[in-house]
Amino acid sequence: MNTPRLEALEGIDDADLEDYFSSTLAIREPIAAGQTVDDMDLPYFDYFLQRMPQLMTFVDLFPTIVQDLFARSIDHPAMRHSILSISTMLATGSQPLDVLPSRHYYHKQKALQLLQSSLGGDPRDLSENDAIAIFLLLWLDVNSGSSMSATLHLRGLYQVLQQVLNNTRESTAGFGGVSALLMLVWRSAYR
Amino acid sequence: MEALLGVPFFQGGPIFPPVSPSEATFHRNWITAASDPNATLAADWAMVKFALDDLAHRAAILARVANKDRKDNPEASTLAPEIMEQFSELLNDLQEWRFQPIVQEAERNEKLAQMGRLPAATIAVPFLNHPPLAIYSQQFVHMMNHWRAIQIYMSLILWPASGPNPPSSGRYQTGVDICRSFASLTTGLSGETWCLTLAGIAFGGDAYYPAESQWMLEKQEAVLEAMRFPIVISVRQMMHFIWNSGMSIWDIFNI
Repeated sequence: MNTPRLEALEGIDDADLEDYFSSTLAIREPIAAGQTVDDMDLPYFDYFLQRMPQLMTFVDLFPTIVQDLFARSIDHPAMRHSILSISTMLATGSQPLDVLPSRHYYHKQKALQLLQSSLGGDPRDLSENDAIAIFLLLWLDVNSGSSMSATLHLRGLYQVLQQVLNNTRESTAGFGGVSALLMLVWRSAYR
Repeated sequence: MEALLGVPFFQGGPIFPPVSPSEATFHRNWITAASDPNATLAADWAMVKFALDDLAHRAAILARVANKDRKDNPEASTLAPEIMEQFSELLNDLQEWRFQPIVQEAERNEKLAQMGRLPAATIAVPFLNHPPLAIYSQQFVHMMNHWRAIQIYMSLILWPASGPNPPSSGRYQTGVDICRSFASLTTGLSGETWCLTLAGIAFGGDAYYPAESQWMLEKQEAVLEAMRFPIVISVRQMMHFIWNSGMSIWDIFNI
């Protein structure tokens, strides 16, 4: 049975039909910025959403942190890869922890490359999501025991946070121009 | 994570500057917006928790200053008076934290649970031969462990060797209190294992309290393994180095 919308289209030319569909928001799928997500990685997003609430600090008081992080990653490739690097580290079942899966290193490297590219660009383009992606890598390093790398990421995070605050100085949105999620990231890093 | 990594451990001092008490109103605004609207007093608890983090941050900065003073003045038997003054102020603020009404009420509830007059949230499990601890609020008990860990951390500013000495530092009993709590805790363990590390430093390894040290180590490994955190691989080696190297804790962490 045709839907009301398709019934209204009956009898029109193919070319018109094509125009109609190409101009209709309803049939356009959202396209994430950067590389598309590989099918093999999809379960790791689900894992992130299920596992991280048990692992992240402050979830007891701010229960939506993990979902908020995930939502932001949809249009931020560095965040997506940071999330996937965390999930591929945690979802190792009973495998030995001294050898992590190659997929973990792939995503970590991609996240680092994307962040380096952002950091090499105009500082005014640095966003909250860049800072959050660095925070996720910092979280990863701390729990991996990579203290040197963690310290470098902590310093990088602080510098990016400062820049983001500068970038939003004129804004009246949020809290001092930034979101509550970013403030929470800052408190977690400070902790 | 700065206090966790150790503010002093980064050459040049703290990366994140300390939070000024005058910023409290600003923080209250975003905390209220972001905290769980269904949880009673969630914003108040967040403020209490952040206050504890601020104290840990200050302690880490002071540790760096004190260690530099000790190295600059190897002949001195005590730290410089201004450092001791800051230490005393910080210790006072740490004690004051417990006198906040919300903390006092939570402590009362814990005592009532221990007397069996409030239901325990978990099954009380003993830490070695110490009496099992009934827990009313796991969230609050984690905060108290954080508070105790800062106490041990601060005692290391004055006496930077691992182990329970001097006995007047109260380190051993503080470590026992942390482990009694950990024995009965079942949730929220991630990110809190640094409290166990501080308890382990207080126990001092085989030279002082081998059973307590071993329990702490096994507990820490079990928690980290369950979380699938690769840092678990290096925990045993790190603790044995802390216990047996004879080095100042601050030199071990290269502040």
